[in-house]
Amino acid sequence: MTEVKLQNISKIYNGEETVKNLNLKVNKGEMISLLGPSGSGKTTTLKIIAGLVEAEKGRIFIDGKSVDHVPTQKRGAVIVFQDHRLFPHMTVGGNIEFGLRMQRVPKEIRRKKVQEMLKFVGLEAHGGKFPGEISGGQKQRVAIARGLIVSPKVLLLDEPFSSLDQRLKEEMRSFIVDIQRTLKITTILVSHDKEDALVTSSKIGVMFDGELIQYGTPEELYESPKSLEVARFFGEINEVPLIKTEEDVIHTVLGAFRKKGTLQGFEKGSKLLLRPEAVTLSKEGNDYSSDPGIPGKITNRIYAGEKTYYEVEVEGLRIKASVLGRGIWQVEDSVEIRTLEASLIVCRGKEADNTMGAHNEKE
Amino acid sequence: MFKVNKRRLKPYIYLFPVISILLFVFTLGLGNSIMQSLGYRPGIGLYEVTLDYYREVFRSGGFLSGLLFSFRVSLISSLLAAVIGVGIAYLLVMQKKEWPVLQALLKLPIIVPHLVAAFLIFTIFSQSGFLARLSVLLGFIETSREFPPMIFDTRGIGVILAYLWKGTPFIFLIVYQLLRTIETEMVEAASNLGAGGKELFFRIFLPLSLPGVFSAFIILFAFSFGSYEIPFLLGPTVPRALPVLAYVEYINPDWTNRPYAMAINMVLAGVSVLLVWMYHWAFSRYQQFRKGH
Ligand SMILES: Nc1ncnc2c1ncn2[C@@H]1O[C@H](COP(=O)(O)OP(=O)(O)OP(=O)(O)O)[C@@H](O)[C@H]1O
Ligand SMILES: [Mg+2]
Repeated sequence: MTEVKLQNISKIYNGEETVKNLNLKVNKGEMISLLGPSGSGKTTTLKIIAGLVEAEKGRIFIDGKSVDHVPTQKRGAVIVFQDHRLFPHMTVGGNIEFGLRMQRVPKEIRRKKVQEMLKFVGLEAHGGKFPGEISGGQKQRVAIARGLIVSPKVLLLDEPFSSLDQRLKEEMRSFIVDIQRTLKITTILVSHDKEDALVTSSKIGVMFDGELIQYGTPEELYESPKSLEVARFFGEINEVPLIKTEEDVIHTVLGAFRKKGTLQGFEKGSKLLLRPEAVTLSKEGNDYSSDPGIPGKITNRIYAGEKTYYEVEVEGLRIKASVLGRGIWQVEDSVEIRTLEASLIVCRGKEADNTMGAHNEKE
Repeated sequence: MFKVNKRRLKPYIYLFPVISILLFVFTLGLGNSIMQSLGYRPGIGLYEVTLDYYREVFRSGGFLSGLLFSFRVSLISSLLAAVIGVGIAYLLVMQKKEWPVLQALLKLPIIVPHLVAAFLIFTIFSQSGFLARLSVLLGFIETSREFPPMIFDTRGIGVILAYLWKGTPFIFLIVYQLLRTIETEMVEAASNLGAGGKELFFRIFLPLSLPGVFSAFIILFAFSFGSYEIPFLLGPTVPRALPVLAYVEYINPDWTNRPYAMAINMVLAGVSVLLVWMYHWAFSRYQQFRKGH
């Protein structure tokens, strides 16, 4: 098993910093995700690790050894490309075999390994076909098999689910998780879909504009995002307007909250965020709770099967809420809003970002 | 059913004026040639259809040696152009820099007419040419007469050089674009899986560009095989290249020689048809490759 470490990596394309002073550590046998919008530098980061792109600044360590001068052929960091890049003039079997050929593995062993690999990815029947003759999902699996067969130290997966429909995507996701758990290959997955990252990875890094904004466990990212951007990336969120802050109480449009638990970290300049699912709606005048509700009016309702999304007008503000199932409220209904104190998210703003390097070092 | 047919016909209907003119000229010319080669010439009162002219053409020594000369010259010049063109393209692509001026210079011979190319080769390689004089000046040889004859020689070196000068940039132009796309897409994937320079060339570049190279090669071969100005200007009188032979027979004031010219033309046309078929074969394989991504 292999450990990967990136230290102060920067890449400049046409005078623009595409990757900015990136620090990242992936532990032995761990699978992590890099998440970020299009153009945030995810692919570039993978290519730097693979040795296909040279960084202007910074160093890369694989198992503690610097690999800055190790060419891509010898680095053992294999990338599965966003666009597959299967060799069109070779069969599926030939594609999978390619890496072994390059390693001068004897023919007998090569043939056996290719058969095993074809079976492993469920393509036994397609070994003799050309890439032009198989489906997108099958190409994806060939691309993964082609990378896996050389037993890479590090597996780099660039958007492996982007060309698949929902059902196939879920299938591939559990396939990759299975492979990774079985083979224990240190893996970096790149995606712009939060669900891919949450479902597959033990850690997630969020990138914006070439910058790694936050790196941590799925729970950390979901529950305590370091910025509003990160929070938004993991789904809809309400920013709770503040009225005033006292020594140990925060007054907001949605009520007053005591500074305890997660709210202890609240300081000047912090934002208070609230996920739609942490907003409870109840009938006006319902006094089952000692906590006084805030009156509001339903202004929008979107039914989405497993959930129903609401927009509630509270003191001139639109608050997003969601309930499981159909939801009994209709547009124009008057409701009371209550907030679970424990589910409030404190977002400490920009200053928090600077502590990230230290955070990485500690691990 | 009816609708589908109509839609299928549409492009043909739109293209009808052009296609009909092309077909008219083509069939008229070809039909006329075939008939003349068979000795059917109502214009001068000859109505008998015969294969005698073909028989005589095939039997004559001039035809066979001419066919051989044309074939050899075309094959060598097109093959060399392919190898050199691919080589230059590969070297340039691996540089990762564009070299725009060098590229423009490399492509220059494409727009230069064949006549000018012939003149250029003549002034450089003939026994009174630049290289001969330079060799005398440098003392390699005593008189320019000793310079090895390359123009009008039986081996057709001058003809080959002229076609090479015109053909290499053509191959380069086609292959360079092809290799560029292969470079960015496939080479990253292959080298990441452990392929070095030699393996990249033989396992990725060459097989992926071969159908394109082959198509370009066929075009070069067909052109040099069928056109007469370069061997007419730079080639030997014995043997005569096939197109030159046809031309000489054609302009012969004795009209009874015309069928010989036409018979030779039909042989040239036959070889061209064969080449077109090979070209299509190569191209369809190439298309199959491209389907991959
Ligand atoms: N070879 C290159 N030359 C110049 N600029 C490049 C090159 N490769 C990437 N870039 C630029 O770097 C930025 C980041 O690109 P990158 O491909 O890393 O983004 P990404 O996060 O993978 O995006 P996506 O989700 O769309 O794949 C983009 O603005 C892109 O235009
Ligand atoms: Mg990308």
